[in-house]
Amino acid sequence: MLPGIIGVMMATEAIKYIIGIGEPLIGRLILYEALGMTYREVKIYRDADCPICGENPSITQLIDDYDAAAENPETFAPAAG
Amino acid sequence: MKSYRQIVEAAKTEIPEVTVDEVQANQENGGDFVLLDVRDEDEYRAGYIPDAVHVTRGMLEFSVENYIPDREQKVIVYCAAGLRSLLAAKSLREMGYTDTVSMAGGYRDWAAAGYATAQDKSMSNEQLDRYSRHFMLTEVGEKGQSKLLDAKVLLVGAGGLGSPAGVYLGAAGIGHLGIIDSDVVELSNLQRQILHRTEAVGTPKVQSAATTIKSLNPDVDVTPYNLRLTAENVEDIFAEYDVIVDGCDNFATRYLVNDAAVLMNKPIVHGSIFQFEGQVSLFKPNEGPCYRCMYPIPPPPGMVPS
Repeated sequence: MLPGIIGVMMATEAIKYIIGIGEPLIGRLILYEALGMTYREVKIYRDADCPICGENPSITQLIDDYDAAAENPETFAPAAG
Repeated sequence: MKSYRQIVEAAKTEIPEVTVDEVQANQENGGDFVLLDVRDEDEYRAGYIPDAVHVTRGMLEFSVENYIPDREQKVIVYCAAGLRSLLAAKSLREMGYTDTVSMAGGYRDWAAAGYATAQDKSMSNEQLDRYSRHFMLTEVGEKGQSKLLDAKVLLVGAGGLGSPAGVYLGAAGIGHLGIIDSDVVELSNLQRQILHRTEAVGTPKVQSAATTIKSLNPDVDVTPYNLRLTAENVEDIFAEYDVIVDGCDNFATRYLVNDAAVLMNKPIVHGSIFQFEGQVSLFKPNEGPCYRCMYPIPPPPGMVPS
């Protein structure tokens, strides 16, 4: 059941975005918990030190092999040069 | 008892009228006003003045505030010939709109003068029927539906999240839906992955997804990608789409999707689930955080529940 709820929320966001209506979930993370049937919203912020969208990104092109990098997380975000 | 003429004459004493030439000059000079089209759906469909807001005379009082929240805003109302617009402008005054005028001669004179008109993509009778419930939502309407029919959305993953997202996006009439997944349908998928049917077990998920979506809504042009997203193919694929819906199930793909979308400036609708918890957000490059702003690197292998 849970994937249905989350997947339909995703479709709703996509449709809102395409039509240009309502408040998009930019900078907001919705957290849903089915057993307690609770629903929370947390603000999320841009990180100035983000390795890809920060002020001095260390990632300026795609990593060669994401599968290999996933096995060795340090290689995922090369230090800023 | 009053005849319609008397009602119109009475409205004329209260509501100023402007000519189509004045409106056109005003529009060209970038005047601060809203042009409000109060004609019926079929009249609007045949052509309207660019940038006009459309609320039918019948729905005017119920939904005008959704379109024109500021009651001080100058509103130029038009209809086909300038009568309904007078009555509509008068009704707006009663609602507290302080600066409403009516365009004399209406759309008829506007078009006859050779001024610019616009027309939305025309829909078939079947589409008008299929999406009629969308049209009742004033925020969506035929304009919103046209945007959906023109939209290109890529679903990354045709599994637990991609299934419900794909079913609803397809039913809603997203014109072009790309679906990328390299798995085949397994019996253990079926308890939640509602794009796939029992008879599809053993076939590629993208094929099964395309069959389901096409039968749900033949308007949708489905492009199946029976492959795994990689650093080599991601840019060519993403280039074709306006919005990426990320319902993938592994960190390698999640970071790949994020990085490619940031580099290519594409919005990602993000969703993930674990056991009984789920999360959703929209990552819009340059406007809000991305996935790496929250999680710069993935957790070490072994820490990841599967």
